[in-house]
Amino acid sequence: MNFRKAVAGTSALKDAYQDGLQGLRKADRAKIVCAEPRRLTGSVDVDKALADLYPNDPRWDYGIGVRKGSSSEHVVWVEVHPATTHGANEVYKKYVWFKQWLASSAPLLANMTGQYVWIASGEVAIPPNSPHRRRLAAQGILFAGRKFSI
Amino acid sequence: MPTTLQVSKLGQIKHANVQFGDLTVLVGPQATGKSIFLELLKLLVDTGAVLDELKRYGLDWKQDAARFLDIFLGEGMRSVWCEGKSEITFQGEEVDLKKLVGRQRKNKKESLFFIPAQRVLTLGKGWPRPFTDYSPGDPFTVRDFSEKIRKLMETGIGPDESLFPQKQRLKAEMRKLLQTTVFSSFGLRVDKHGAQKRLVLNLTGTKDSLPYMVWSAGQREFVPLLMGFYYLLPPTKVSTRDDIKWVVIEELEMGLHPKAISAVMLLVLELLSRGYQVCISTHSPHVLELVWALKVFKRHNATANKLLDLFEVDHTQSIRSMADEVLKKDARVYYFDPVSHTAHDISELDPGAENVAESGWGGLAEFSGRVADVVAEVVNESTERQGS
Repeated sequence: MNFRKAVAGTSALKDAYQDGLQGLRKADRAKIVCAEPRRLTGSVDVDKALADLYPNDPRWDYGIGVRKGSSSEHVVWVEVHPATTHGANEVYKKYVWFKQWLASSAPLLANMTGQYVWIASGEVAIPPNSPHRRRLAAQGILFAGRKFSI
Repeated sequence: MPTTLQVSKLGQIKHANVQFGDLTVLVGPQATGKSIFLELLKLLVDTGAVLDELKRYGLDWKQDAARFLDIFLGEGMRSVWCEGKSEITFQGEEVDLKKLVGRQRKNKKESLFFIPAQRVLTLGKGWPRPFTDYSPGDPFTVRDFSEKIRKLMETGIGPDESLFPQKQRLKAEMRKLLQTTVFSSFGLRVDKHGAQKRLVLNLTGTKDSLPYMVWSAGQREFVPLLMGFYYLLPPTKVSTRDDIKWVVIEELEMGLHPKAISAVMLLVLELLSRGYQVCISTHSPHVLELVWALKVFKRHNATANKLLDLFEVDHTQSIRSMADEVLKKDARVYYFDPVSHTAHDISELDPGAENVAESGWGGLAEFSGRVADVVAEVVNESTERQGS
């Protein structure tokens, strides 16, 4: 299963697929660094696509399809959020909600290998050895600073 | 004008150009040249006083720079200077080491107080050792510090007097914090063992004395540091000591629990608020956390109360005034890189910086960051396996 097909098979996201990083808001595209941009197959603005269905839920921001080898592909799930201790708690809530949504409403995407990444939307106000960062790490969420290299 | 010191090809340092702030912090692994750099600062700031003191104690380097370095930095340290290659520029002016140590100086005033990393050695048998008790090959900064706190104890403190807590010394909030984090239920006082004065710890409410050798390692490390702070913070209405403008503290965290490090950092803030220019070297991420917080607070116009929230102290008027002063100060941080042998300015300590030296705080937080990243990877992979 590749990312495009998995998105197409997910009713809430089927119209959201964009090539490369086009699915990301313009300001956020620069936060993703990739030496081989051709590896970035496509992207979806999950937050925007789910806004009407779940207006009050803590929605995750983006999904990016990344080609690993000649055929396999995995998804990098990116949340762009303020890097504060309060922000860390919100990212955690978003992660919990999104994992549940993937399992219940997007099984094709849930079955793909995924990586969860939090990118700071501005000034980083949590120190490198913060317990909040460790708490998120214990859930499998990587804090990338202001940019994430794929 | 800010003080600047630039050195090239001196010991392990290939190049370092440091512009000192009100607070300057040097970080970097062992043997990257931080101590040499700070000792050199002492020599440059206090040339006349250093040469005079060495001569007073009968040390003669015969106007020879190499011999001088063996006396000033310590035995064998002449090797740090490479004739024709090593260079020093202080305050924008090139320094000729031979000339610097080769002639008498009129100005013998001292303006830099140096608390060395080896301070635990200064309390030999529970009392500060005199300058002459050391070998001629021991570093000047250790001997000088030892002599200064010995004089302070001989002249400033009477027998059977309590050294800690002492009402006239340090702010009440600081005493309270030190009591909790370092001394617990003990007090520090001067005792006489036969004819010999010595420092002892007393369990509150008892007459039993604990001599130096049975103190905890942290207490043995802390007491000379406390004496250094007593030297700098006189118990009078005068806020600073004599002509002292600079304070250097090497590895202030040595032997201390993080809570005690916080207490010591509060004392450092007191030094800053009184107008001292402070320079410290450290291997403690805890120290950098405070420096980082200071920078963020300053950038966001935070109040004194926010700074005090970092410490477990009452927000009294006196300590708030101190914090107000501190928030006006400028802090700078330099990383002595063991690979390039150069000093990098990482003053912003931005955890989101792309430069790993800055985001990892000169290696002090790099491991924590790496642990978090690898843990996230392991948990994520394991969750994926369970899901598939």
